Amino acid sequence: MTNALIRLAVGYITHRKLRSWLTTLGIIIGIASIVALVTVSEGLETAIEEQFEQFGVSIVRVVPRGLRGAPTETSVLSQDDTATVKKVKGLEYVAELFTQNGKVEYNNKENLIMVQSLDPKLAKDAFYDLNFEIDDGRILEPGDTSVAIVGATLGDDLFDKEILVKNSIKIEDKKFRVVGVFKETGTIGTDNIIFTPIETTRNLFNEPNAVTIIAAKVQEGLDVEEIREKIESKLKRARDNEDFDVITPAQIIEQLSLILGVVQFILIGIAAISLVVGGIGIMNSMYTSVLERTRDIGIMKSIGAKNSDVLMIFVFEAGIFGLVGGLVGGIGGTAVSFLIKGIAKVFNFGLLSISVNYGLIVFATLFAFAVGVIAGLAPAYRAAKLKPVDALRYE
Amino acid sequence: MEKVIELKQVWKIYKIEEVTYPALRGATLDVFKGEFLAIMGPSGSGKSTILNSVGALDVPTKGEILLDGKNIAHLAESELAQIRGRKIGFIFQAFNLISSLNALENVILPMTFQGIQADERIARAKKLLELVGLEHRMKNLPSQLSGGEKQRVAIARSLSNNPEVILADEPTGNLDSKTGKEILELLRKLQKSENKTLVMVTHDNKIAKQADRTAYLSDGKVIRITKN
Repeated sequence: MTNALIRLAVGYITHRKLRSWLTTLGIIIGIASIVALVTVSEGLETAIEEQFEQFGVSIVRVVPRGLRGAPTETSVLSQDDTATVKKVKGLEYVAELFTQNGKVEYNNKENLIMVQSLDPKLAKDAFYDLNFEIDDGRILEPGDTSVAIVGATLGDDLFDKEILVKNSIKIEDKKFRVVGVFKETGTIGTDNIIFTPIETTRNLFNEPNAVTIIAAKVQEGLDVEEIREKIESKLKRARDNEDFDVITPAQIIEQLSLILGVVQFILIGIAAISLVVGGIGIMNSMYTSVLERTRDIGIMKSIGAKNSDVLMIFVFEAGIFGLVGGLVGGIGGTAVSFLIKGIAKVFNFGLLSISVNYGLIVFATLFAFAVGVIAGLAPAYRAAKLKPVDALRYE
Repeated sequence: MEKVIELKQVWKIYKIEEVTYPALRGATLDVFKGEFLAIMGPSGSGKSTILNSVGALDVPTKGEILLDGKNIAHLAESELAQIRGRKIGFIFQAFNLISSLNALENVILPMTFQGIQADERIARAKKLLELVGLEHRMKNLPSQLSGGEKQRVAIARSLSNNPEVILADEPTGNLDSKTGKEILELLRKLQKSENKTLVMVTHDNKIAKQADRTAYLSDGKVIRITKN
């Protein structure tokens, strides 16, 4: 393939501008959607991982079976289980969390909010390990009873008025004094949180023995997975059932990644269909162009073009459609990803971290080139096989 | 005299759907090196078919075509392409230039297919266009050229790979008589100066008279050859 033949192919493309752009558009859309999907889901995965690392990688959680992440059901764990976990060696502390949906009142407004509670004695360590930082006021302290710490935007988001330290809120008609406000994190879940002392809260909801989650911190340098297994087997024996899960952040990340991977696979599969349609568009355009240039093919053959020369010209032409479509689509898809990031930020999901994936753009461009070449093969073969005399006679 | 082309009992039978149509029925003809041979005959007598067979554009159904002593009647397409590119220069009635390439690029194209170096291609194409008097039209597209100019580009193109034989199929058929005469003069001049064999299909007696010999075709056979 010499550059004269390349120029010939390029010349043909620029000769029919509108049709060339429409043909390329099919590839642009296909590649752009794939690139955008990959870029956004990569950003999502990074965001999830970062979130879970904040949750403390060395914390093992015991949760009722079928309950992962935000607990909503009435607990099936009890303080007996806490006692069992405490028997496992190698733990720095074992914290009980009790979580319940409660009616919360502030600024004459009422909302049903998840109230989380824990032992104030463990608040210092647990908040540190869970990356909860106080912006104003203080954390829970031993001896606290009817006090609460609230997320940074809870008031603004749900009660149309900021909640400040020394304000009072009502949970299930009981007055709680706000002693601290968390730093804003960017996620609605943590920014709209309410933390209260566990005993007070248990009494409030009349569940004196209830435990929603047991969180155990593994001592530094020890194998988190090994301890997780120990906790699991001890609990199995003590409870004589398996309707609970002992999980680590690593496992959760793994599972979420798996789910995300499946979703990604399906979405990219759908986007790939549009790329196939784009390829068919190239094929269609190439068949038309072979037909239109039948006479040119005859001329080229009469002046010494071999079948392979003709094949190359048409395959290359189809490849250019793919190459240009892939490059424009790759850049466009990245731009769309940043747009999605912007929209996500508007909707309070500021964690989505999008970055330009140069490798992906290069890969997408080459892939689109290959799609173009493959789509061009059959039409190019038809062109190459034309008999010179027949082609010359074609009007 | 040395023979460049020999046709021995060449048959060409076209099959269009179920109807077979013999365009050549045992045509026999010798072409000598350096001569100007005109081929005449009524339409449908097989003039173009004979030219296409000699030019390796079409393969005969039966018979032998010797080009420089080598039988080209049953070669593979890739070999035929080589012969068309190196040994034959075609000139058509309808000019047959590539419309998206300018005059210079059209002349360069046959050399591209032969893998000649870029700078050499360009230099030779420019020289040939000067030879046909188109040095001022090199960058023009065929659509910007007159009929006579287009045929001059085609003549330059036919000479680009320095072939032995120029095959011209009614080269003046689409031109007015004055331009046609100029083109014919140019072809005659180049044929002599470049020492080429020229085979030209025509139905114009005046043109045929300028040829060294004229072969008359009828019903797919050469019925008579006259010397002028």
